Amino acid sequence: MTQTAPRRRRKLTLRAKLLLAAVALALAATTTIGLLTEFAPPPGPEQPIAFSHRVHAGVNQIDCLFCHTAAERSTSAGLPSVERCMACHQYIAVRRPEIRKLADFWEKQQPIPWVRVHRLPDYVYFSHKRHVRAGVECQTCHGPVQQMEVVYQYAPLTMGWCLQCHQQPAATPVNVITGRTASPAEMARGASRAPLDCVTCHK
Amino acid sequence: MNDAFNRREFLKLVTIASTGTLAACSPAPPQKVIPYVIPPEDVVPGLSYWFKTTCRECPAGCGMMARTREGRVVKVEGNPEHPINRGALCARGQAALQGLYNPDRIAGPLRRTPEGRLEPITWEQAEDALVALFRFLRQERRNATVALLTERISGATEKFFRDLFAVFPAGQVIQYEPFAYEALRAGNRIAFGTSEIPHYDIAAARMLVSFGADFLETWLSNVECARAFADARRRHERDAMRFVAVEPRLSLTAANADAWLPARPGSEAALALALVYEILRSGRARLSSTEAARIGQLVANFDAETAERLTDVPAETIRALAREFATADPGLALGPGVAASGPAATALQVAVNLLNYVCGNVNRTVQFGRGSNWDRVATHAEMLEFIERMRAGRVDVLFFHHANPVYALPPTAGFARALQRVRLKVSFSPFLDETTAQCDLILPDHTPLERWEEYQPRAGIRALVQPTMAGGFHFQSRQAADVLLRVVRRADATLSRPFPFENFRAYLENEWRAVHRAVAPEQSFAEFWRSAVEAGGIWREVPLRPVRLSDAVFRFDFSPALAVHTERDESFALLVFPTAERFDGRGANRPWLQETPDAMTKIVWSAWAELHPETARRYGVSEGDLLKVSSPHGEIQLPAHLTPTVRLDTVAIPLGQGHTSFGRWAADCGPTPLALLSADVEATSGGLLYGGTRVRIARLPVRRLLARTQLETSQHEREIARVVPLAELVAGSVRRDPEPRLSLYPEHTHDGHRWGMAIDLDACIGCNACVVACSIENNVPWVGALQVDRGRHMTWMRIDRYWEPAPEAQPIGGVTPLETHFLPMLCQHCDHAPCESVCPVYATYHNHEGLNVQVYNRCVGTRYCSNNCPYKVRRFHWFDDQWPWPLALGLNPDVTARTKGVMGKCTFCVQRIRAAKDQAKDENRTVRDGEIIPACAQTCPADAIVFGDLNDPNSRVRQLSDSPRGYHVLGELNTRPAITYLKKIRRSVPDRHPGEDG
Repeated sequence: MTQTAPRRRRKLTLRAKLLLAAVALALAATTTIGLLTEFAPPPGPEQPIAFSHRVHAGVNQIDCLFCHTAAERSTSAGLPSVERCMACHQYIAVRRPEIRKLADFWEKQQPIPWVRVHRLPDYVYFSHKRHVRAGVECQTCHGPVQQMEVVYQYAPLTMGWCLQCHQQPAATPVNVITGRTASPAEMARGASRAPLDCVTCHK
Repeated sequence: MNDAFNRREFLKLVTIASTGTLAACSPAPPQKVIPYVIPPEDVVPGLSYWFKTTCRECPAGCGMMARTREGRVVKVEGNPEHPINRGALCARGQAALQGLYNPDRIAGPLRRTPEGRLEPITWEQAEDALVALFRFLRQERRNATVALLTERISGATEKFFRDLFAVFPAGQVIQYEPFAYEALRAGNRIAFGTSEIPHYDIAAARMLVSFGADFLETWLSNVECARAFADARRRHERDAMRFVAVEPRLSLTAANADAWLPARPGSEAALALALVYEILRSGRARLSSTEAARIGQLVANFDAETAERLTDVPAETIRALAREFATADPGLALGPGVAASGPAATALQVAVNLLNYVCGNVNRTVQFGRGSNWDRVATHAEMLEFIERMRAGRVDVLFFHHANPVYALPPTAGFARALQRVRLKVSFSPFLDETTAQCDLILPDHTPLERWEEYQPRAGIRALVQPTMAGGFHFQSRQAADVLLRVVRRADATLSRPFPFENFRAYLENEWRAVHRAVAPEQSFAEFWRSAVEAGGIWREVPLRPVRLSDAVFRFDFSPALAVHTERDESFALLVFPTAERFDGRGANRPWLQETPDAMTKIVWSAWAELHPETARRYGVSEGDLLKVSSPHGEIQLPAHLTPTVRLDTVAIPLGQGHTSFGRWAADCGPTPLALLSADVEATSGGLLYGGTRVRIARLPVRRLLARTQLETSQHEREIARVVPLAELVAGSVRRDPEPRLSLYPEHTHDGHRWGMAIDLDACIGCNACVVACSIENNVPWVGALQVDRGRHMTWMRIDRYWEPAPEAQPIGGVTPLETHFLPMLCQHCDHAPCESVCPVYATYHNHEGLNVQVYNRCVGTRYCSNNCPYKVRRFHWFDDQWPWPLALGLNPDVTARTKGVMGKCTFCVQRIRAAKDQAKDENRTVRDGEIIPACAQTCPADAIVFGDLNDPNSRVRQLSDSPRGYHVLGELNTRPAITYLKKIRRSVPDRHPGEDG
């Protein structure tokens, strides 16, 4: 009895060593990957209706604020209600299978359970209103939505990424697609006065 | 550490590495974003909407505003335009939110099975059952007695229930309030021929004497009284108001007095009569000589010496007080509160009326015509009569509407037993309280934040209660009045004519058509109704209705005032008192109220028995010992609390605990002293005898947890809460105390704003409203008695309470009068913050606007900051907070709900600062002074807290901060706080005017 115990302990140490080595290897690998890779946008999730921003915002040139009505009034941009979708789709493309799905939700008076694409942690308070009113265009953060068949998260939405603009506001393009920078009028409205204080977003 | 590998980079690497190890963990599950099917008109997600309503947490009827986000109420505040509370709310009003979201609400209608269990049924079944009952009662059993027992209701709500129960041949509506102010009503009837409870103009008084009226806690309308009291106290010159409190226990109200006279329990009437006697004797009465002579005869037995024998208050003090009260122009004396409602309660109210009368205060500070009518609220004697009818089997069907008499009446009244003789009991309560638990059919009503109602707190005010969010969000509740309307029409088609209304809202609107014609006929009704709902009701100034002394007063028998127990024996006077937090016990299921420390003892989550340390020594009792308190009527066991704030011959026990069926948070918090009270009533008024019971005490060999948030009562001469005598202030000789101005670092520059706060210790009444408001606004959790006992309470704001012997005061009955100091303590947002320099991860820092910011997502929980904070205002989250569903719906979406392991503390309500700046930016301007009001300052009934920009020389906060009374708590530590405290003012009473003597 007294002899078996140390032997078992020795066995365990061996196994632990192997485990440690594996962990160290994994650590090194992930660290290297973490340091080397840029943010690669994940593909957009499958939505209950295959809604195309390309068709709406790109081909048909519908203004973002037509559907996301609260973006310049509220912290959240807001999602269009089913009623708003139906305002057009009572007449437009009513026979398409995806529109039939929409009509189905409307008939049952049920909301559409969209899958969230852009999500900030609970301790971050982002205001759409402040950014829209400062002249920052939607694409700056959301990417070329007008070309997206399926919307995906374009930017990493990390604090470091936010600070890229907030630290150099004047030089930052207000539209990443066109590369346009803030006009003097926009800068006067606050485009160049992006705050850096923590409580701006964390409260 | 060398340059190549500094701390920051090391941390960066470690962070990345640990992210790598966690990579195998699953990512957050996909979240759904659910849009509206049809959006409600004008509701934008992310924006707040405010609805005005009326607080129904007590009968005072304060105006309230509810802030809603995405259709849910997240905060309630006082309505600034409302004449009663002018924007303030008390702790109970603030906690109304936890009634709405209380997880212990009844989920839906319940019915008692033949086996005696309560089983859930559908609303259709419930209404069918009521319809069948109504048909039966109207057609077959027409002689059946049907009664509705309701809380105090008024206006259209009262008319509705009266008319509705009149459909039964023997139907009646009884209004029941545990605090029914019987003595005030009877005393006014005797003295002035009216039972109206007048409006007391406290703000105008220059001398206030309270005989057991706890007007800063529960008495009549505590927020209104506190507001008026603070207004009066703000007069700092020679016409400053002085306040003397006469009561055997230092209540929160008495703690705010300039002098506390701990008279024997039940002897207050003798003292009031002695004041009348002395004022008449010295010829200072403002009366005709014939009237003075008549009244003099009436009080002939009550000279100062007799009063000294009865009260323990020295005759010399009584004479001096009489002199001062008579010369105050005007003065005001206030009658008995609950704690002083003993056998001499009516005698006391008559005496108080006489005192006001002889000094000419009646029709000046005592304003009839503007008061409240309590005539239809049953007296305790009437309740006993009703119980007798129940017991005799003469009540067939009994409905309960927000009344809980099984809990609130003393067991000796026998309500619970008599209730068993009632054939059918129906309850509309949203909670399974003691009364509802005995009912056969339970139809849960909406809470006041979800329903329509009209309430008239006093003459000239018609307040509206409106739904601030949709009812039935989680609990299948329905407004009782709506249910009754539907049922009564279904039961009998002929009733559709008197009750043609779809719901109670339609009924209310219809009732208000008459109001519209009387008040604003020039407006269209739609316009009038909309503006009334938007404002929370309508109010106007009503004329005073002068009263004269009634002849009945000269036939009044003052002998109860002489029947004071003065012998020294082994019995104690039992003092049963309500507190600002617990009231009559109806809020005991709100965890925020349970965790709010009692204003004086700082005890949480428990009932207690107050003993003077001298008494305790005699009985060998120490703090927390279980005490057996027994009276001829019952016996309770509860922990002892030793305090010098109670007389030696008195045991004081608070009301409000002792629930046996009121949800998880009301359970196991100790007994209620109601079990010790007799079934007798006060002879003249028919009032419940809260006072006058003698008890015996015995120590049991057990100790009980008595969690307190502050154990210390003395400042140990550290001058944390400071005082300045009024004379020095008037003379202009007050100077700021010098403070060190040392610094090793460059000073902070605050270009732009520099937020700061001024707290006036002379205004603060220590009522805890700010504490609860802060907790609700900032998602502060509660932790329960055990954790509080370990020092882990979480409130960002606390009221420190200190007391010391009042200067120049002589002991009265062995009790040394005390001078109490309340000190609201919160993060001081120091310029030289000791917390900032010790944080290893830069989670707390000083921002360019002077805020000491805490960034939760940076915090790693070392707690160094808390250790280094001399004010002890930082709170560490030892556990993940529990917000049982649906309580979490009431969380403020603008404030992070902290998780385990991070530090939290007062942020000066940074979310409100951000919101105000956001709005200012929209309007292309800077923030105005007074635009940002933190939750604590918003609800303060005394306006003691002022917040604003110290860089603005015209701001209120800057002007107050520059006051000669200003000082910084622990300023000698060179912390340079952003909060300036204004010293409390010591007003001596009696204030001897030179060249004057009686």
